[in-house]
Amino acid sequence: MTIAWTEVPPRDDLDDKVNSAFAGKVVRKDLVRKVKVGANVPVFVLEFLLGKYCASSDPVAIEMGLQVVNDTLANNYIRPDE
Amino acid sequence: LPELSARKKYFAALVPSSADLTLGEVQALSTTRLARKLGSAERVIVRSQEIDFFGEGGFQARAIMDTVIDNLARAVRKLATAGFERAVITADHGHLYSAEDRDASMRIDAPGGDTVDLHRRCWIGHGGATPASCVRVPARSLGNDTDLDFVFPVGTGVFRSGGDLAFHHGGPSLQEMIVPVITVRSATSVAGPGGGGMLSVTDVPATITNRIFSVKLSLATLEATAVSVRPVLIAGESQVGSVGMAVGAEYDRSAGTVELVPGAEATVGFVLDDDTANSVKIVVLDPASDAEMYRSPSALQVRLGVT
Repeated sequence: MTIAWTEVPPRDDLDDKVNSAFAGKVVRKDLVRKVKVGANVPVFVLEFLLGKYCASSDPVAIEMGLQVVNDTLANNYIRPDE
Repeated sequence: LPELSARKKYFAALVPSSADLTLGEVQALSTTRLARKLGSAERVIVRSQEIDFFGEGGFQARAIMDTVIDNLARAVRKLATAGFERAVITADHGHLYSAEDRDASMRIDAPGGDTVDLHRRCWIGHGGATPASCVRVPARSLGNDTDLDFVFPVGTGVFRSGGDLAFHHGGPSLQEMIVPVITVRSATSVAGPGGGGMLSVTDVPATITNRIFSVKLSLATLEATAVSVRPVLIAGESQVGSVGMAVGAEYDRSAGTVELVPGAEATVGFVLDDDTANSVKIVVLDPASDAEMYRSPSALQVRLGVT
């Protein structure tokens, strides 16, 4: 399978330090906009899901985590017009 | 026999040299301890309610069900090593499970009247109005000594009584009424781990802090053809996670297999399905025989930050 890498901002030393000190507890707020598009979902819900599945600096884990988050929203979130 | 304890007593009386275990117990015991626990038992009953239990569990239910099915296969193989070469796998009913939640119009108003019991696929009571998409059956005509009526949805609809629309069972559906039976005959001497040394797993995190993480797999062999492998996460003897993505190798989502090209490194992403696992091991299986090609030398601690 070929995947398209998600564009994420470059990591700096501080990102690495925070991820190292608080492994698994860092919410990637920079990814909120990626899953926010087209979904009328409260930001705190998105941040919870990102914290659950994308609390990592590993690009493969991020890519998979975003898929899980998007699948979760698609399967469980009801839009007002539905 | 209405209760599990009564059914267990009945079976024990019928087959005195029998044993009774849950699927979890079979998974948790080592092969040696399992053989010791079973002793001279001629028959063993292995019970599992995981699929029913997780059916109502939302979006991860299907992944967990797949894991349970893999665990069943693993239990059959483990029992084969303990000398039980014939396994009969059955369930008291099947279920309906859509790929996604269905349209809300599949919910049907219950008949009303004097309701004695209401499930999503069955109403029991007196009177009320039979909805157009339902059938009313006198309980007496089904052999029950009562004047109550049953009302069932004719199709795959459900009465409004809670729950989602993706997973349900009950009523007169084909899946509910047919009892599936699978008989498996295994060789009692199952081959042990094989292929060791050819496969290497690197970039393994010291501690798992996110439900999704990646490792690198590489295969060293003189043959040039790609080799299919099935990496999984194991806690105790139960599968608790699988691969969800691969980079640098072909990935078959339905089979959970990765095609490793000799000499090329592949990155695979694991999804941990079971939040309750305290530690896991990475195990790479040969998908044809389920022989172990690799097992982590030590367990990886799981410390999820967000639960």
